[in-house]
Amino acid sequence: MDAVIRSAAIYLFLLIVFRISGKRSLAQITTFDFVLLLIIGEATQQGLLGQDFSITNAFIVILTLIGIDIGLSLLKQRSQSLEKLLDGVPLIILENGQPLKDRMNKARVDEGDILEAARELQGLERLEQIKYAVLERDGRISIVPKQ
Amino acid sequence: MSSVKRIGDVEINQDLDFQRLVWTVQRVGWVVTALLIVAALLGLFGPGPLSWATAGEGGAPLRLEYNRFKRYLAPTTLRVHTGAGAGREGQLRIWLDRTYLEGVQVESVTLQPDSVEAGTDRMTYVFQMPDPNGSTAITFNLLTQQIGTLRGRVGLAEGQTVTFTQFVYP
Repeated sequence: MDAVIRSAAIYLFLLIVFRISGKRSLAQITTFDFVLLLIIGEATQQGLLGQDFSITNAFIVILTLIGIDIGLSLLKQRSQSLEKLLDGVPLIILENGQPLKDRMNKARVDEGDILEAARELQGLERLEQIKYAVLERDGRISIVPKQ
Repeated sequence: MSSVKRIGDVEINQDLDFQRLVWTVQRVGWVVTALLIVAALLGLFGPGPLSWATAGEGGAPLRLEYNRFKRYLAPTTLRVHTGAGAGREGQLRIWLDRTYLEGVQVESVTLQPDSVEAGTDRMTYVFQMPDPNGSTAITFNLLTQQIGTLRGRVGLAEGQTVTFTQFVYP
């Protein structure tokens, strides 16, 4: 019983924390972000398993986490507002070579990030070559080049 | 079902009103995060200045040091200070009430008690105490076994009783 409650509580907590920290938090993972993720995993582990190190407990925890994930994905398919709530929405941050500054500031993205994505994804050199830059739901920036 | 809007030349589910709401909630969330960290530093969720407490008056033979806030399955201590007049006939007898002991597990006691006597509603720890006017401190190392509010009573076999309340976080 408590394994299920623990897993559900931690799932919910991590969901809220990562949603609050914002898109950019884990988008472009630096080495340090990766280390941070490992530490978060380490800190979570104890609370998740409690003092019960049996295989059964591990199975229950894993099943609960995956089960909630499946359940939410099913609900998200039915309800667009829930999907928005959990995953966020994409945001246009550059239109016809013009960066939309206020949106970029709020989303904590700068022109350097857009240019980096443009170089990586499309081999573009300047902002004016970009038609649209979109901050996607997972925090990456996608680029639509001008024809 | 997703009905994709068209903005300019791209078909995209952009929703600026919702995005602004998210940004606002996020900023509130950052403030809440900061407040929670400060609260944790102060000891609202475990050991810390807000959590440290004592029960029993300064001059009394029995005084208690405890934590107001504890966490489930986390080690914690309960320190009993005794002053002059606490012991009798070379013995110091301190009891903890049974309902409290159902909420915690006594891992160890320092000083080592001479014996432990089980009663219907209390456990009495007996210590050797040659000097009846001496003062000492006895530490109970506990492991919390119960979530929620814990009410405890600690007393001397002859008389003074001290009550205290703790809250145990999951």
